[in-house]
Formats: sequence, C-alpha cells, structure tokens
Amino acid sequence: MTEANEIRAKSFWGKAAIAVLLGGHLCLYVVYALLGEFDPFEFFNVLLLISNFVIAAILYYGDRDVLIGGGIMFLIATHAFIGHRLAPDYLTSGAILMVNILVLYVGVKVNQHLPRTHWYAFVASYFALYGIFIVSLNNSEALFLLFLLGMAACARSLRLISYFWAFTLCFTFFQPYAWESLLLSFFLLTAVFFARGGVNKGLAKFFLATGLTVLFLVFLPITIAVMGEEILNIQPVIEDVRIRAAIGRTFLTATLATLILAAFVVPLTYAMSRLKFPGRTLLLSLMDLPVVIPQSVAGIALVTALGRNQFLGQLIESNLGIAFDNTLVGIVTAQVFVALPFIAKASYSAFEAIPVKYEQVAATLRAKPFESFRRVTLPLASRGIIIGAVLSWARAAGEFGAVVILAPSPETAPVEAYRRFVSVGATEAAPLAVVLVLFSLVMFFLLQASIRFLPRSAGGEA
Amino acid sequence: MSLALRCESLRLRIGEFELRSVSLELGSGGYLVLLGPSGCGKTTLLKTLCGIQRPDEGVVEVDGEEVTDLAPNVRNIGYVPQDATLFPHMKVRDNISFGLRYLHTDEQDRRDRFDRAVQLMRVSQFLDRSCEGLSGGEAKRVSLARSLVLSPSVILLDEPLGMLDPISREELVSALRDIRRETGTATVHVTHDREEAWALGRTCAVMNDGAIEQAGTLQQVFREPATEFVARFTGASNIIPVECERVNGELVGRSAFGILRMNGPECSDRAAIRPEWLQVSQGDGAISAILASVRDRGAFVELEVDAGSERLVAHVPPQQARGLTVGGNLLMRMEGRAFGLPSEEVADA
Repeated sequence: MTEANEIRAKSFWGKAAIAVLLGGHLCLYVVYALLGEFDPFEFFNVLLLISNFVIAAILYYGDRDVLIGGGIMFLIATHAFIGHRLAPDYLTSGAILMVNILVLYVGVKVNQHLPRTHWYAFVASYFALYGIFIVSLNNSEALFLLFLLGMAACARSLRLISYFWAFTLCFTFFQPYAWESLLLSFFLLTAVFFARGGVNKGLAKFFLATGLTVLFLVFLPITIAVMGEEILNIQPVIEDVRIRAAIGRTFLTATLATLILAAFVVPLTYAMSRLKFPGRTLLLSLMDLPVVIPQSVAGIALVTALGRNQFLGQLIESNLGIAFDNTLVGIVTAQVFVALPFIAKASYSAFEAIPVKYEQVAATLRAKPFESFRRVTLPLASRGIIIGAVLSWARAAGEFGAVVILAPSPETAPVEAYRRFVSVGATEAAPLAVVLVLFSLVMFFLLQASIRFLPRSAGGEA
Repeated sequence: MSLALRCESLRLRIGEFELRSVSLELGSGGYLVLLGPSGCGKTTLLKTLCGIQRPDEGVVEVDGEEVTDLAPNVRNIGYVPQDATLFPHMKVRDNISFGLRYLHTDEQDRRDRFDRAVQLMRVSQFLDRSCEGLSGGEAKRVSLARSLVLSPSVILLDEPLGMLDPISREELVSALRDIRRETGTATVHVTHDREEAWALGRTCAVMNDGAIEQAGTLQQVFREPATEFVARFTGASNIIPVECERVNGELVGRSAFGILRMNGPECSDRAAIRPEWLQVSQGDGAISAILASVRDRGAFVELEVDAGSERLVAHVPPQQARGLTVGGNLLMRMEGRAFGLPSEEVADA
C-alpha cells in the first residue's frame, strides 16, 4: 500500500489540508470580488464555492480519501481562479473541471492499486496530451478533453495506454497517413504484447519492437501507396492495353528466366554440395556476384557483350538468328543474370543440409544414383529450391536497371512504370505503381502459399 | 554350408582411422554379432561390406560371388543404419515399398513381399503415418521391413537395439528372431552390448581398433577369450597372474587367490575369471577373502574382495550377500574354470 492511502481526513494533516484549500478559495473569492475582478454573485462562481464546502463537509465527517477530496478542492479553487480566463466561456471551464476531477480520481486509484510504472505512464500521458492539444494544436480544448477521457478509460492497463498513444500520435503528427500508420503501429503493438517465449523474453521483445519499427518504416510507403489510392483511379490503368501487355510480358519473361535458372542451377548446386573440386569455394562466391554489381553496370556489361554491334552478339545473331537488343530474349537474359544468386544460394544450402546417409541407404535399397536423386534428394531439397525460385522470380519480375539498358523496348512492367513517371510525373504514375504493387503482392502470396505444401528440410530428422 | 558373406583382408584408411585386414565369414542363415567398443570401426566395416565405402584392398563376396567393385544397389545386401534413416518426406508405406520397383518382378509378387515384411515386422498399424511421429523402436522396425522386402542375402544391422527403452528392445529382439526363423536371412549385428550377443547371436566376432581380435561361436569367444581385450570386453574383468602346470592332463594354475582349474590348450601366465563364477560359499576349496565393498546392482550384488594380493570382483545372487559386512572375512569359491590368456608379449604383438 502506498503512503498516500494512509493519509485520512481525520488526521491532523488531512484537516490542515482541507482548511488551507477551503480558506484559500474563500480568500481569493473575497479578494477578487473586492478588486472588482469578477461578479461575486455570478452563478458559476457561487456554485464552485458551494461545491467546495460540500466536499469539505463530506471529507471531514465521512472519513474519505483525502487525496481525492483535497485534490478536487484544489482543482475547484484553481479553476475558480484561472478558469474564466483560459477557457472561452464558463461552460467550457466547467467541462474542463469535470474532466480534470475524473482524471484526478482515476490517477489516485492508479497510484493506489497499480504498480509505479502505471502511475508514471499516466502522469506523463496527461502532460503529453496537454502539450499536444493545448500548446501545439492551438488550444483545442474539446479534443483535449475527449482524448483525456479516452486516456482515463485506458489507465488500467499499460497495453491499452500504448494502443491509445499509437492512435493519438497517428491522428495528430501522422495526420495525412493516419489510417495507414495506425494499421502498422497496432500490428506492431499486438505483435510485441502477445509475444510468448521462454528464455530472455524481455530482450527478445525489445529486439522485436525495434526491428518491427524499422521494418514498418520500410513498409509505410507501400502501405500508403496501396491504401491511399482510390479504386476508381486504378480502373483506367487496369484497362490500359499497353500496361496489360507490359504486365503479361513481365510474367512471361520472369517465369522463363526462373525456369532456365532452375534447369541448370539446381543440378550444378547439387554437384557442388556433393563434390569437392578445385575452385569450389571461388565458384560459390562468384554466384553472389550479380547481387554486388549495380544493375545498371550489369546492363552495360550485357550490352557490351551481347549488343547488336558487338562481336559475340553479332556472332549469335548471324548464326542462330537470335538478337538481344530490344527483344524478349534480351529481357530474359538480363533477368537470368540478376536473378541467379537467389536460386543458386537457396538450392545449394538445401542440398548441403541433406545428409548423405539418405542417398547411401537409397543405394542399398537398389536405387540407381539418378533414382535416389529424383526420389530422395530432390524432394527433400524442394522446399529450399522453390523458396529460392520464388525469390528469383520476384527479382526477375522486378528488375529494372539491367533490362532498361539491354532491352528497353518491349516494356516490362517496371520499365513502363518508369516511363510514366518520367513523362507524366509521380502523381499520375501512382495508380500504375499501386497496380504493380498489388500484382507483385498477389504473386508473392500465391507462391509462398504453395511452399507450405512441400516437405520440410531433412535436417531435423534424428 | 555355403557362405552368404565373406570378406578377406579388407583394408581401408580414412584419415586417422584404419581397418586393418579384416576377414570374416558368415554362413547362409547365420547370425553374427560383431562386438566392439565405440570407434573401433564396426560401422565402417558394415559400410564397406554393403558398398557405401570402397576398400583400399581386399575382397567382399556375397553368395560366393565377388562384389568388391560393385555399387551398393547391385549387391543384394540390406543395410539398416543406427538411426533407421527413414526418408522423412515419405509415409511409412512408401518407405517400406521404396525399393520394390527396382525388382524386376510383377505387381502380385511386390504386393506379397510388402505384405510379408509388414506382417513380420508388425508395422501394419502405422502404415499411413508420417515417419516423424514414430518412436525409436517403430522406426527401426520400419527400416528393417524396408530392407527385408527386397529379400537380401545378407542384412547388416548397425546397433539395432541402441537407444531403445527396455520394452521396445524386447519387441525388436523378438522381431529379429522372427526374421531369422521365417526368412533365414544371414545377419550381421553390430553392437557394443554383450547381452545382445547372447540374446540373438550364434557366432560372434570381437573387434578392436580396426581389426578382428577373435571370431567364433559365442561360447568360444566368451569362455576362451584369445586376448586380454576380448576377455575384458566380454566381461571377464578379473585378470590375475598364475603359475600354470599340467597335473594329470589338466591345467592347474597357482595364484594368490588359490589353486585354479584352467581352461585352454596350453599353459599361460595369466588367467581371466568371470565375476559371476565367483560365489560366496562354505564348502571345500573355499578361499578366505576380505570384503572391500558391496554394491547392490538389482539382479545381483557386486562384491569387491581382496584375496591374497589380488582384488577381485564377484557377482553373487542377493541372498548370498545377506549378512556380509565390509571389512569382514568371507569364504569364496570359484564355479567353472578360469581361462588362460596368452602372455602379454604375444597379446601386444
């Protein structure tokens, strides 16, 4: 129990406090009336004085909580003194008084019955709200009172206070993106508050909170783009033939690029996981190279090698009839180049994680090497491979830099978005951006969902 | 008797470890228990026999045909690894029928083989479960069934009873007996537990540090150990120096413990005595000893006694240990014979 609870009205200090507050109110009343500052028979002023006497009587005879009683009297006295100056009219002043009394009551109860942290949070919240609404937001008393009531209602639980503050901040400082930021911050708070775990829970929760905050700052633009655009703006974009063609082309080329990659990278990485050969480590690091090289540089490198006027490009075009500049083949080539590391890394680690004992046992069960690869190793690695393929597909579909340099002209969706941005500006290109984000999200979720049905990796088996 | 499995002078070097000229023979329908401590090369030997490892030198024969350079899938040897190694992405049913499609037989035959193996290993109740939920014993039985459907000439079991609770062990022991009785498949059973040898084996080989120390029937290996290692590993923990001589055609050893009847063809200067052959007794030939410690081991009581200058370990029935006090005197007697060991120079060579 807190010390405050021990102070009762019957004690000496309790009586003294009541006497000082009541006396103070009475003195001010008389002094200001004599100075002619206000009308002593004004209804509101009389009401304040009478209510103060009533409270004093209740406190004295009724053995009530002196913190609440004294606090209420203090509030009444203060409001009688400054109320009609700060607030535009008596009605507002009265409302502020009532809400303040309620907050005082809640505050005292929080102080008495809940841990210290709740009390600190409550007091800090009060002053923060005061600062936001009275100081920063042009004296908007009505909003202040409304939010204060909300805060008092949330005072029981720190979680509710946190949600309350997320709401308040989103609707004051992030006003233009209120709903978007509210969605993300509520998600964050829910994740942190309902996180369960064993060892080092506090530290892990802290990491979760900070990590999610940064993550949400990354996601905020996407959320704003998707939630901010009206469905009517998107309609013409969806019906635009050029854009439809661009999306279709992106889908086709990215899928082709991924299939090509899968066809030669998966066997290669299997071999690398099972064999030791000179240059193996070098090859492993080289597979990451396309991630490091800037996309535009990759595009320039590809043009230098495969362009119409270059030796290799000319050789292939004259012998095989395949051109790379401004063709679908060019697009696929650029996409294959930039998407390679994702599927390569994922499928290498998938194969690496499968113990050789499975293949050895399969061999003793009469399976030929290819059969044991097909029936044991490949299914066990499929999850990793598909995850890599999904990432590769996404990378290929989203590739802009290399594609725009090698094959700018049958436009893929990212190239088309850039065209629009350059020709008509960000606002006009926004609906297209939204459509592309939605398209990517749908594809990504579909592929992720399909992964759930694949076997888990073999590492866990005893 | 034709030989199901034979290997001769197998040598294999993997880093520090080495198999040093291993030779083994196993008749068809035989059951060989390969005993040895951890790290002695038992698993490597099995892998070499079934073709997962290729030997540097030596010959492996299955059913009289040389298979040394053949891949595992054409050897007709089944292999059940220590951890069962079921394919985790397949159901039990698919695991068991994994190899069936590589037999060039008709559908009916495959179904019969599958049913026989399932019935023999009593796995029918979880055919449609995934492998992840199986207990250790269940996984072992599935793994056995998976090998048995292919009717291999030899089946190699790597610690089949390891890491199992007592009840699962009992079930698996009876399953292994069923295999021997119903299919007559020649079996090599690797373990470090000598109880398993007696529960299942007919013949036995003791392996140490990449080489076979002794091979023979269980009785031979356990009662006439060829080396000190075999004696210790088979549980004859009392090894004492003796002066041996031949009296009336029988070998007799004089030791600090008294006069021992000795086993073996020749005289030697050390004798091994199994702890369970020493009993508390009052009768003739009993030897006085001082009790150094008593430890109740449940089924028997382990006594450490000082007799002469030697400390010996005896496993006696609980009723014999009643009323004994540590530090007190007691009379002991040996049932059976001590066995002579080759002298140390020979054993070290």
